[in-house]
Formats: sequence, C-alpha cells, structure tokens
Amino acid sequence: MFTPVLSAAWDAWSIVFSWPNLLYPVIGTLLAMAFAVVPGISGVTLMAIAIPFTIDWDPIPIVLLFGSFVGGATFMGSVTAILAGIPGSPPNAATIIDGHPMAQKGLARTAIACSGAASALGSTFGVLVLIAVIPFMRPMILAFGPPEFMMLAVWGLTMLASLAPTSLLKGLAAAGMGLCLSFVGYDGRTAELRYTFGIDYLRDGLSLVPVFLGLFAVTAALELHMSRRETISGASDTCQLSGSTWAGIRSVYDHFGLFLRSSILGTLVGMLPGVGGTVSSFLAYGNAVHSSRDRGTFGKGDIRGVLAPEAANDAKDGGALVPLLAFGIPGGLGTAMLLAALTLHGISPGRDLLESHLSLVFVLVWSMFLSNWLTSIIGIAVAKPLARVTTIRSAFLVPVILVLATTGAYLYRTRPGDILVMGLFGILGTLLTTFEWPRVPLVVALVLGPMFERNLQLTSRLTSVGRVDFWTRPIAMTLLAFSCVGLALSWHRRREKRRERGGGV
Amino acid sequence: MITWNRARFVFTLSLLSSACVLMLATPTLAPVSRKVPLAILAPTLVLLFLQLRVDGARAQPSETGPVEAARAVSAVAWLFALLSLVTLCGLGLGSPAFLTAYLWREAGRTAHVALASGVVSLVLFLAFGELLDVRLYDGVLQSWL
Repeated sequence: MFTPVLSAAWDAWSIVFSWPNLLYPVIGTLLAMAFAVVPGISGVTLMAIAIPFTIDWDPIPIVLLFGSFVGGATFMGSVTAILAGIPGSPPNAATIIDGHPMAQKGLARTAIACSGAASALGSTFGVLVLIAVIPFMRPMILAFGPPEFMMLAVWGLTMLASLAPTSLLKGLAAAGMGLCLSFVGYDGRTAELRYTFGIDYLRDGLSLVPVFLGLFAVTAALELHMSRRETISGASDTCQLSGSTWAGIRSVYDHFGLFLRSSILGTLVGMLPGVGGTVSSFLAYGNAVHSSRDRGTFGKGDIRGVLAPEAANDAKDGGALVPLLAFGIPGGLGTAMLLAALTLHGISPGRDLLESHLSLVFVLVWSMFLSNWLTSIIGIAVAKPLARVTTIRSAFLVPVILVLATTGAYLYRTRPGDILVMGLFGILGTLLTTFEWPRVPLVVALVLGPMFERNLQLTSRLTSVGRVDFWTRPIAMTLLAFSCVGLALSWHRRREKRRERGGGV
Repeated sequence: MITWNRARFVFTLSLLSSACVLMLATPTLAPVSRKVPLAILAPTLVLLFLQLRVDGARAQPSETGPVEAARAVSAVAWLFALLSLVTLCGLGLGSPAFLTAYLWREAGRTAHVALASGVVSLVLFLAFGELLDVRLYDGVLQSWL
C-alpha cells in the first residue's frame, strides 16, 4: 500500500532538489518572507499577485513556487507578532499572547528561535503524517460530519473561555459576545441580513484581519503609548537583552510532549475542511494551558505559549493538503488560493491527481516542507538582529505599528471601512485588557462562529429528518465530554483557589 | 470623578447594552435566521448581567485606576488623529502626516527631523503602491476636490 507512495515521494524529492528547480522554492520563500513582514499581506496576497505572471508556466515550477508561498509566509507572521504584537496573518494572533510579553521581558530572541524550531519540526511532523495517511485519506475525512464539526467548535470555545485568567464568567461572556459578532451579515441559509442596522459595509460580516489587527496590534501600540515604557523590552541596548537563541531551540526538546500534542492537533485540525490555521493555533494554545500544572505564567511570556501555536500552525500545512488533494476542498484561505492557482493552471485535485500524478502532489509537499525549514533557519539565524527591534524607542515604534496596522487593514480587501473597524476594535481591545477581560475567547468565537452555526443548523435538520443521531456518534460525544469536563475542571480549580485565598481548606 | 471600579462597571454595562440591542433586533429576523442567535444571546445576556452584579458590588468610590487617565485619552486621541487623517487625505498622505506629527510631539524630535521622516515614509508608500501595483486609499478629500 505504501510502496507507490514512497516511490512518488522519492521521485518528487529528486525533482525538487535538482537544479534549477531548487531555485523556485528558494525565491518563493524569500519573497513570502519579505511580504509577510507587512500585516495583511500574506502568502495569499502574494499568490494572487503571482497568478497572472505564471499563467504560461509548466506544472512543476508552479507547484514549487506556490507551495513555498504557503510555507514561507507562516513563520515571518509570527516574528512580527512576537516583536511588535502585529499578527502577520490571523493564525499568528495566538503567538502574540505569550510571544509579545516575552519580547517585553527582553526574550525576543528566545521566542523567535522557539517559533522557528517549532515551525520547522511541526511542518516535518505534518508532512510525515500526510505521507502516512495518503492511502486512507477519504475515510478519515468522511468520519467528520456536521455534528462533529459543531462539537469541535463548541470544544474550542469552551476550552478557550475556561482559560480566562481572571474569571470564568468573563471568559464565557466574551465568547458569547464573539459569537454574536460572528452573526453580523448575511445568513447563509436564508440570505437575510442580520444585525447590519442598515450599514452596507456590514453585509459581508466582520472581516477577521482588521478585527485582529485592531484587537492585537493597535491595542499593543496604545498600551505602549499609555505605559510610558522607554522601549518594548525595557532595554535600551541589545546587551541588556537576556534571551538566547539556543534556549529557544532547546525549548522544543524540553517540552517535547507539548510539541507532539500541538503538532498532532494542528495536523488533525488542518485536515478538517474549512477550519483553517487560526483555529488550530488557538486550540493548541488552549491545550497547552489546559494540560499544564503551572498555568499562571501563561499570557505573561511563557515559552510554551509560543511553542504550541507555532508547532500547530505549521503542522496544519501538511494536514490541510489532505482534503485539498483528496476532494479539492481547501482547509483555509491559503489552501483556497493554492487550489485556485492549481486549477487555473489545469491541475485539478481529486482522485485523478492522487492516482495518476502522485509525484506532483509530493513536489508540492516537499516545496512547502523546504520553505518551512528555510524560513525557520533564516529566522533563527537573524533572531539576534531582529530582537534589536525591541530596543527601539517606543515613541518611534508606536506610530510605525499604527501605520502598518492601518495599511494592512486596508490592503487586505481594499475597503476603507476596514480601517474604521480596526480602530474601533483597537479601542475595544484596550478597554478589554484594561478591565481584565480576555480577548482570546472573543476572537476565537468570531472565527468559529460561522462553522458552529452552519453545522448546528445542519445537525438539527438532519436529526429532524432522521438522517443523523447525534447521541450515537463517538467523535461528537467525545468532544462533548471534553467540553463539559474542561468547564467543570476550570470551575473547580477556580473555586479551590478562592478557598485557599480565603483561608479555607 | 469616575473611579476605576466604576469605569469597569460602566464598561460591562456597555457590553450588556450592546447585547440588549442585538436581542431587540432579533425578533424581526426570520425564524430560521434567529434560532441560533437567540440560543447564544440569551445565555450571553445572563452571563453579562451576572458580571455586572459582580462589578457593581465592587464599585466603591475610593479606588483610582492604575492607568493615568490623561495618557489613555492621549492614546485614543492619536488613534483618532490617524483614522481622521487617513480618511480625509488617504493612506499615502495621511500616514506620513501622522508619523510626522507623532514624532514631533511625542518622540521629541525637531520639526525638521520629523518632517524628513514623513517625507521618507511618503516615498516608501508611493514606491510600495507602484511596485505592487496596489491602489492605496485616496481619502474623501480627493473625491470632493
């Protein structure tokens, strides 16, 4: 069963690592890295720009180039997230929660190195899983129906809401508010407008990029302005930065169990059509906090909070290729653009591609793999000079962050309304952090909301016509059990803490 | 003068009010479209109300906030200035103007240095737009003129 797969993998390896084919992923990676520094301009934007220029090319260079665009942009987005609190793309938002506080402590180099090592190894894990599951792709994906997708959203939401550091009540309420915001715009089933209040801009709902830029980048800039801190890290010279590159790389070995769990989670979530990297990063982060005994350090610059989302985000690339190649269903925006590029160039995913052109599939896989490693190696190599950003005076950084965020918010869809939304969410984010409300459940609810609603409606409809029995589906039941137990444990832990503080047992 | 805990209470109240507005708009929707929003809004309102009670119980007028109010107002004012400049003059002109003003007023740079930084950023914006063939937002002033 595995012989043709391994043979195709080897053939593709020989193609990718031959001259001049090797040039395409290298150039693609460098371009993606350069583009990813500007928020809102991700690998997706780069692919959109590149399509018209490559329309006459042969399939192999196209697959090599576009594969490297997907892989190359992922890591650089996390570098800006760590250094300035600006997520290069929505999946990098989870890295900000602990990555940016690490930079504030002078540990930017450690965070970047950890991110690079976790990304490279996470992508390797994703590729290995992809090779292993290619023969079993179809049954694995078909095991997930509407009830499972719905419960996956519920699990993600309850897990992240229960992580709210100050209060469970605030976490759940923030998740509820996030879900309510996700209902704004057209209802997919009835095409009826909901909660738009006559504003045309809201017809398509709230776009994630300006919301994320507002909640994270603008909030970070406003907080920096208010704090009167001289620099992000508090250090005015690189000699005062205490982080080390080796400590970051070593953290993957030190927390290998967490790395493995996050990579598995990232790959599995990546395989689910329409779920995407943002969900996998936040789920991995939530899992990291939930599974640790000393969770008090999360959100304050814990390296595990960088490792988990980064491993998951890059591992998902391999997983996301499973539904794309088997059914032509993209797992997220990056793979959707990849699908568009492949189809425009006459390469149609599906059974034919998997059976007759398996080596082309592996050319794509190795291209993404190579670009992930290349970005990580370059990133780790330049971690020290990159960390110097945290020693630049805040008064210079604040306007640059604000201008970059504004530019990114506009460039994503070239809609001026996105700039205003970014500003409003920037103020909301500042108020949320000032009054100790968690931002993560709100953000994740906004991401998971459409998936939750669509699958809840489908499940209830299928149940009413007798096509689905929710209570007899093992995956859905397991996720329901995880959600209930997670909430109960969180409530119990908080009660115990309150008792201890109150001098009780 | 508004105290820290009272500000916290007002913020929760504003979240509750926003949820109430959404709740009031829900009955006008078709039954299929309002089913899920109602199922989420109802518990959210309860949770927000409970949080409001927690915040209300703490709203003693003695405590003052850790963030200086003046600094917070100045942060929001700068954000408002950026949004206004970009909306009026567009990204290409508004952003460099904001950069110049911020560097001059907050970073303590001389007017010349701040202006030079603004000019450099303007050139970068124009080059960026040209190289990527991206049409930057022009602002409402240009459409009026």
